[in-house]
Amino acid sequence: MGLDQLIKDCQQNSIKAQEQLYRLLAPKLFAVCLKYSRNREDAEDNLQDGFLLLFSKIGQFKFQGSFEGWAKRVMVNHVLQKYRTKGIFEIVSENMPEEAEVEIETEDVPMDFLVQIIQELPDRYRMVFSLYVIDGYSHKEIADMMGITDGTSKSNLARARMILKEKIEARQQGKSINAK
Amino acid sequence: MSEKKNIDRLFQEKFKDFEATPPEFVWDNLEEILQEKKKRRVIPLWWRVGGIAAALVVGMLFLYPFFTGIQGDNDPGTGVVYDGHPNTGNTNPDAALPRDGQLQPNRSVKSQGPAAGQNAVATAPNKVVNSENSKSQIPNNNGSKFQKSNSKLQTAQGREEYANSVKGTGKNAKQGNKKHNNQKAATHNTQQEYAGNRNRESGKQNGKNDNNNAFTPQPELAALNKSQKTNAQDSQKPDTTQQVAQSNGREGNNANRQPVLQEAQQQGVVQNQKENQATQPATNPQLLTTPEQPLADLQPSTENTNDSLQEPENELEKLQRKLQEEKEGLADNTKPGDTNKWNVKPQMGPLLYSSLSNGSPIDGQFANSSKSFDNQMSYGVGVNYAVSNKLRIRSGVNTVNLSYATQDIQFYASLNQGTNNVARTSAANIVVENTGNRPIIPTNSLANSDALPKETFNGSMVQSTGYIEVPVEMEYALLNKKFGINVIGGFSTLFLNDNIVSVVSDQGLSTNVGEAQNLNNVSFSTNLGIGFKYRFFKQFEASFEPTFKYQVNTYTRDSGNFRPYFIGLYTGISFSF
Repeated sequence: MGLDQLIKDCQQNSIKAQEQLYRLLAPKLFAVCLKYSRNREDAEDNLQDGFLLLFSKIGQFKFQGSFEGWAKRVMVNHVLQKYRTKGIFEIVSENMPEEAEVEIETEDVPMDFLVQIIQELPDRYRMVFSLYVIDGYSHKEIADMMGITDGTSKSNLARARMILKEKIEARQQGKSINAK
Repeated sequence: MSEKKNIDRLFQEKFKDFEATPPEFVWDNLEEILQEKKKRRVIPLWWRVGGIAAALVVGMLFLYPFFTGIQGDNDPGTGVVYDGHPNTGNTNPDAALPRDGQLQPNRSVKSQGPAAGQNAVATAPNKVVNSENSKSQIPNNNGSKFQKSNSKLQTAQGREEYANSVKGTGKNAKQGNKKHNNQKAATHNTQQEYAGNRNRESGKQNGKNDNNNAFTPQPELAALNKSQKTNAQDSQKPDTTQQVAQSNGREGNNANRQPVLQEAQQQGVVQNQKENQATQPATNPQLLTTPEQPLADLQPSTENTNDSLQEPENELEKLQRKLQEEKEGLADNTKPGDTNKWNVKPQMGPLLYSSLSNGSPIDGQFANSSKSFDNQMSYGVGVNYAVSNKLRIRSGVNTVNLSYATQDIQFYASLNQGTNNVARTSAANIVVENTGNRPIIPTNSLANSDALPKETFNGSMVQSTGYIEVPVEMEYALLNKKFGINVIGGFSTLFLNDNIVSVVSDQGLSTNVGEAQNLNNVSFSTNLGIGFKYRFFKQFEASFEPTFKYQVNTYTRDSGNFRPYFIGLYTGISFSF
């Protein structure tokens, strides 16, 4: 069965089709959730609620463009909304000078560690970093999506980079100490 | 291996093809919710019934003008007592002015409107009783109380626990929201279960922090936790992430053994200590009270109000409807099994009726008199069964009230005469005759036992007949989309339940004459109609069906070749199930 047919069946609320679609997309969308959520449990919650939303809105998919892209956007927006509630985002000072490049020494940093340090970022840093760096949104888009200014987005990104860099470096130092 | 690299590049490369397998229980929960949702769509019957009732009331109000004051004309007086005053040869209509209450004033101005106090739609909200929810309230409360008191605790453990309880309450607050949300209500069971895992954690903390007194005793909590279904898959969760400590804690929870649990939790706490300090940095009291934001839309800015909490349900319904319609509209390939087979339709409509020939419903002598036919209303309920996509069999029950008025008659009281085909029901015989049929003064008046001169009134004679109609019809769809056209054919059995003949004088006074004797108790009609319908919900259809019904076998004897028919302009709203 082609993807289009699967989507059509999902639009008819066929649970079988929904399961197939879930199996197909869950690994990718769970990855999205992991990037944008605070921890794994939240990511699981978000994946579940996000899929409910996706199934309820699947009729809006007009078979234009990639379905996967559409599904990812639904998921990202869902997670953003979840953390978007006023007060959830920590108050951060936003006068951080923007640093164009943050260079680090990289060894083979394990994936788990990267996911972990992203999740450990404050909510908004995490969102901005994932949106901008990993998923390629522009600062303008991020600002619109999150209801912040371009400047805030940029400064959040810079701070996020710094934190991540520190964590990676700390890990590497720890490692090298251990090695010695 | 080491090289200088832009940190962005590192993440981009690493996350390029990043996929992660979610635990199996996520789908299990989802499936449960989805199935629950599917089931739930059938439940709110009250809503549909309410809809029908509302439609009826609106319909009645709308059709009100059709029957104001109609029945008043037929309202039989309480009877005429002829006072026997000789008033020879007075056929002047003026003389028919009421004298000594001979004819009762016509009480024609009766309001026929729908009863004012009619209370058709009971729209009691559909209360979702969720016993599990009330159960989980207890730990939830504990959680929040705990948070308050715990805010003083500065230890890492405190933070860990705090974070956990926050999670628990967050989840429950979310459920609170969802409770108001019909769509989400379906998720309660699984969500509760899910939340239960988290609540357990806060429950445990209570045990540890006995100095914070506002808690339910721990045994109770433990029992409570046990009563909540353990999510078996939880413990099979793959440990692929670095949050080993946390999942350890969770697995421990699932085991539901408090001592072991606490240990496990403590281990988790120790291991997690550092992480949690970073992950849950500032305690954020607002988190406790902030309700979950509505589900995301692709255009978040448009749906960012709390109002859109209601949205998913509506969206979903709309969507479904649209899809259904599209499917039917585009392809018209719905299998009969797909649609609902049964269909109930309250209907009403004005009846227009007349005769195909001159004739008279009472007696041949009135055959050539002019007749008028008052409009009456028909009410009823129809039942449809869809044999196939195109063909339906229908039946039901309708009321049929017909009222024929024969003009240009004269009537008088008599001791021993009566009207042909009318059995008297009142104290006096009233003879109804065609005007001009009868000489003004019978020439043989002396020879006649009814020798007394008569006072004669001009007016009209009204025959009211009422039937209960049981139709058996077939309906064939010429067009079966959102808008449909059918042809309808069949016959009806008519059971006589009302039979009154009365006269109305030109002055508007009426009196009861009796019952027509020439009516069959059971008669039939052949029906032919065309139906227009419009599907405005998935299961609701408004229809308009002008139906021609030709009556057969209505009269037993001479009715002056009266061949009645009626046309019902039935409108109704059908509900299929």
